[in-house]
Amino acid sequence: MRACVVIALALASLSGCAITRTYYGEPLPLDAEVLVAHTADGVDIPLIHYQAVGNKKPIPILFLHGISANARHMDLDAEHSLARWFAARGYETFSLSLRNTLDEILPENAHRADPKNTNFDTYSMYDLPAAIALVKEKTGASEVDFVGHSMGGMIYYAYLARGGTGIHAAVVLGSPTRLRMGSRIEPFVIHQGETVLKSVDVVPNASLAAMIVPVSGNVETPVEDLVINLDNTDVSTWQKMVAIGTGDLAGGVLRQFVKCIIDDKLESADGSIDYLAKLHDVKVPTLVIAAKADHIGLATSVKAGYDALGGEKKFFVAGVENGFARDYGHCDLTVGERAPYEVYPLIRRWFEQH
Amino acid sequence: MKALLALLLAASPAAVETGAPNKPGVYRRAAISADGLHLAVYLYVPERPLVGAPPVLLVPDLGTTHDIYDVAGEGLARELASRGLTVETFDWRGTGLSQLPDHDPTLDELLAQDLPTAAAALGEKSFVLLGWGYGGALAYAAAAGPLKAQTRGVIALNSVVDADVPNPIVERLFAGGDALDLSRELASPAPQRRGSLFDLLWVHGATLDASEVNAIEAHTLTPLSASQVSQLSAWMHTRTTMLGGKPYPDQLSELEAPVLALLGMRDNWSHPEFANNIHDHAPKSHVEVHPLTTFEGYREDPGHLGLVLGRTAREELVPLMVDFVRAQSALEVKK
Repeated sequence: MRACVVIALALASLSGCAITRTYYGEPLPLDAEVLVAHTADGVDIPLIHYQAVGNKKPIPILFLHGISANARHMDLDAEHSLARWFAARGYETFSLSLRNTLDEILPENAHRADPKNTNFDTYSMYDLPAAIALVKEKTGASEVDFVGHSMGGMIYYAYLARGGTGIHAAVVLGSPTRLRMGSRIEPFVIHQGETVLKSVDVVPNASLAAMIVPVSGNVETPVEDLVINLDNTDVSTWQKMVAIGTGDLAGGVLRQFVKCIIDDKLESADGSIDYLAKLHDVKVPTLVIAAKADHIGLATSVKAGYDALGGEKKFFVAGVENGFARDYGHCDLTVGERAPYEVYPLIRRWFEQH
Repeated sequence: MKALLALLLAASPAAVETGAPNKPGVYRRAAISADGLHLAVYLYVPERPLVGAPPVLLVPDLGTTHDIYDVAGEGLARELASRGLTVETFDWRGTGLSQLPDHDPTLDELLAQDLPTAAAALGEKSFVLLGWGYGGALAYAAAAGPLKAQTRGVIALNSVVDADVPNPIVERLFAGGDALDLSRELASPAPQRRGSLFDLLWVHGATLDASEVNAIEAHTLTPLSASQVSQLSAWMHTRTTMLGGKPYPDQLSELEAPVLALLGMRDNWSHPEFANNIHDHAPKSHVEVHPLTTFEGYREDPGHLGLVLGRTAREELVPLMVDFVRAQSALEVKK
């Protein structure tokens, strides 16, 4: 009897998720093509591809989302899509979805990853290299331009620190690199984090998010406070982001970040590579953008990545002090209502200058 | 206008006295620096002193008078005193009621002359320094240098460690190399926005009282000398400067006093990312950093002014400061 109730609740929840995703989200447009990259560890990961419109630029752009998100964060809808905005301006664009974050758009016979085997290093060792290789193969370009949001930028740093190549110029948006920021929750994380997360394989954030979509943005919870400035983003946009832009979260990633907080270093899971320490040799021109009202990628923590970089670099704070209409929060860097007028052109200028 | 404000203050119940500080109240005195200048120092004697707690020396930001800590009878100085702490603040040379030297005052003079003079005026063998913005950088340098032996702790409000250019507006303000009259420059309209540059660069803070903000804009901003402007501009661009004959922030490796660093995340004048790396530069110090955000449970993400004024400062930051100061008295008892 108890099993029946659990199954019924699970089914209701799943169907509820499907309904909210359909109601609040929207499907990819017809001109979006789903590609599959094959990683060196045998996993298939999806990329959403748009052809360039008009005069084609020689270097394609690869977009990478952040933690607990998926490729739709970079390609939410016609008004909030880095991928489509740049495609309309002559760039061939590719939005990578990390393993286990948007597997539903993969073909049925694709090799899906086991989240038990995923940590932060997995993304820089396997997913990003496979995506870069696919973009190069598909376009014939020898290098790609790169845009990483939040953990997407952290993966970029780790990839470069591991000697990764093939990136021509990059923009990093709201990517914290010093995870020990002085937060009140740090003592708990440091003392209890590993214990609490010990047996967590995956946090099903995509399903959890779909269940709370109707109240998202209408009731301001700590989630909104953490990741979005609703002065800068319509509630309907945020609900769409929650419904279709949220991805599951591997426990191994969280455990690695707990270790980074304990050791006060952005480091590999085995502690052998201090990612920031390796960045002084990096020569990829990188624009680092912090959001003034970001509560997850605090500007203090984002600046640490910028400070560590070698080569040409620029640090920019997205806020009123630099002429923007509002101080930006974490996710509004990509889906804020004015991001296409304020943030996207900044990225474009960086790529045009390099 | 300054004279009018002084008259108003004198007429208010919270008037400044000039006699000997033998009972609770606020006392203004003149202290004479080693190079012979008269500096105005203000002592706040609490009604019910916290036994054993060290006094607190409030160091104004560059370009402000001591009034920033005591605007129209409100502010950090009186808040801390009302909780039992003896507090002192002062006017940098050439600002407020302090004497102007016959030359451009330099940052080195502020560090080597004004801070020790104000500290000596306290008449206590040790104290906690509280600094704000670039004034906080001087407090750090003093705690690592001339006042090292007497400093029991440092409270740092967006106190600059790794200076940088915060935005093009500040860069432009400091670019000329001439003396900078902040009260005039910051009153000019902000580009593409309603309000002044002062609103844009200093004010962010939902709990600030408009009358306090107006009083500060009108009365507490003071000119920066040409030499200070040049040094600050170069400091922002090169991220290092010479203070007291030693490179800053490298000299903070000598800082041993504990630090409480409070980061106002919406500060557009002295960014929090200039301030948070104090733990890297001061490895001998026990550093506690608090980013102030609503997610962390604070009422707001304060800007520059919100760190020293308004409800957030009064009700949320002052208790942190008092706890920190009390902890330093406990440390001394242990010794």
